[in-house]
Amino acid sequence: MSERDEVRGSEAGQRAGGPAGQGATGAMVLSREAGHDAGSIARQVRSGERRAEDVVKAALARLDRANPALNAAVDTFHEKALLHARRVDAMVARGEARNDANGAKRLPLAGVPVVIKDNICLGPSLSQHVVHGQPAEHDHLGYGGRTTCASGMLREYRSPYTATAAQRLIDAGAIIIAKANMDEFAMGSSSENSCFGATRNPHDLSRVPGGSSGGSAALVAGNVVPMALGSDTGGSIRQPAAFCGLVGVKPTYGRVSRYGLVAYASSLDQIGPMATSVVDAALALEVLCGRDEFDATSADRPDTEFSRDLELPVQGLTLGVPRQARQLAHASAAAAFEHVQRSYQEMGAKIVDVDMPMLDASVPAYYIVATAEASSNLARFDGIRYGHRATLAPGEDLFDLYCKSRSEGFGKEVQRRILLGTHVLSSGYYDAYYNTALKVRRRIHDEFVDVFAGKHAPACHAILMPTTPGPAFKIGEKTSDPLAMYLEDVYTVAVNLAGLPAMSMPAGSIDEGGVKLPYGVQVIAPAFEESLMLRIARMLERHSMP
Amino acid sequence: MLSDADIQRIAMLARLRLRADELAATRDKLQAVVAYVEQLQKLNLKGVEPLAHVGDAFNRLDADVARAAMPREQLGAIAPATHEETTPEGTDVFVRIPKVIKKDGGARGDGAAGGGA
Repeated sequence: MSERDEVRGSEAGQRAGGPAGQGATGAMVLSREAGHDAGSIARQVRSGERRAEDVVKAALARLDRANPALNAAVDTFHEKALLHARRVDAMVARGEARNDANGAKRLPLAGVPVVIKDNICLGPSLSQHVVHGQPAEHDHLGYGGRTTCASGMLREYRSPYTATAAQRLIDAGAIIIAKANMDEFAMGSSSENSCFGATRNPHDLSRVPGGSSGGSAALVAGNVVPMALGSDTGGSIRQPAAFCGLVGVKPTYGRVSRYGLVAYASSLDQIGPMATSVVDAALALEVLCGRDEFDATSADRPDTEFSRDLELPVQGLTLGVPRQARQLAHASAAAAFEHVQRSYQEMGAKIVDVDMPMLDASVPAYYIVATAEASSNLARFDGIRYGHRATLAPGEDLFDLYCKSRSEGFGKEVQRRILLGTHVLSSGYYDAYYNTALKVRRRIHDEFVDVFAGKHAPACHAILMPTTPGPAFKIGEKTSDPLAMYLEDVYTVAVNLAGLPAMSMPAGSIDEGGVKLPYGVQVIAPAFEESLMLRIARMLERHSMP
Repeated sequence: MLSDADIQRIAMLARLRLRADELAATRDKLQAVVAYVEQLQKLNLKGVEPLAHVGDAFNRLDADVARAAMPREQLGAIAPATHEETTPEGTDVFVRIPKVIKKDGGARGDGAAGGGA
């Protein structure tokens, strides 16, 4: 242990509390070594300065040290990770990390230890060819293991195939060291709805890391790994990034393949990176994005070199701030948001008020659309082909098998969302609820388009908003009131309904009872303008550097 | 307001079974959320076209080429209960399920709300 690790509170006490235990206090943020960031690791491993094996061994040791307090990893890959690290080292030794003839970077994430959220499938084979019945090339290198979605329904589920996003990380030389804890089926804003118990915020172990990608956020914020994958259906990357002091990117719908991501709400879901800097997030997004033959909604867009122009400030930058963003009830959060606006003004940006009345309707519209799609997507978990199957009593039949398997396998919040989604889609209610929500969705989408096009005010390059109403809340504080939990998403869900790219970035810290908690702000850009969005975020990152 | 019977009907449609002791709490929590989302009905949305999916603009069709599906033995390996049958062509794997058709005809849960047979 380094002297600089910020580990407060009794570790024995943390362990005694157990993964889901209440009352843990203190922090679990390990010291950041020089060159901890993904960009530095990849550069050094590619040049042969540093061995991937050493990087990964150190990351595994940090994981073992931090995870008992954080409960952020569902499964770890101690052996497979080292196998992959040696594979990357061998490739570097053979010169396979050198830029290709066109100057394109190969193995851009060489040796970078990462964690991925446990709703992203890892199959027994590395190659996706196995899907088509062709022999796999590197069977012994497949990570395998479980893909649980933190649900009793999939507690023992082993995916037969690997998600495209995960495969792209592996192909880029990244080393997966763990699957991360989350809210069950990505339904939640705190990572408390997990069959493995709640994940804790590394900055204050009595608080939530946010959700649903809370395990991914906690392991990056605890300095275990520099980078992680999350998924964002209504804020599940951005909100935990904000609560943990990270950069979290929700790409444009279609930017990143959803193949192998266990579906929650298919028209809203996107996989995206979480990292400690905008630079690392851009690097990860470059690797992740692109068309995938296994996802018909993945977009074929050539503009994917996000790192190239990252340091170019946006000239004549205009940022729109909706009225709702100025209604923060939390005084310190409001001050932090004000500070970010002043910072942009100091850099010459124009801040303009924009009118987006439909944002007020985004949370109810989101919870109708998302639960409707969830009730349909989760119908596949019926105890027949995979997942939990209940034991039948004599006289019980197939209908009982469905009901018992689902009621035993799904947790309470997932069941509530399935019930709500079933209700809003059911005969007699469809028009009043689901169809109305889709009309609101259209209006929200159009309001964003109008702001970017300058229909009512000066055209805005992007929109600036808080990511969350306040900093991380206490574990258990909102679990008994689903509505209070849903309102945590008030600033994030509109983006998913409109399919836009958005990212949360650190905006200083807020003092809560003597503990400094991170706070985040969000940049929202027009569809497929990730490059612009990242440049705007990078401007603030550079401005904030001491 | 959602009644207990409403909740039971929705649960049947969703193939979920609520225990008697959790029915009231589930009803109250669901009712609170339903009351909250009903605020949308006050909005004037005349003439607005519903938007179900933003990706339609770039959705595309794949070439109509036959490809092998995932191997059956891999799918059998993740099924909760299977049945193997050996024929002269080899061994095939099937997913085992409880009896579907009863002696008196129909299966439960189909069609009519209420779900009882």
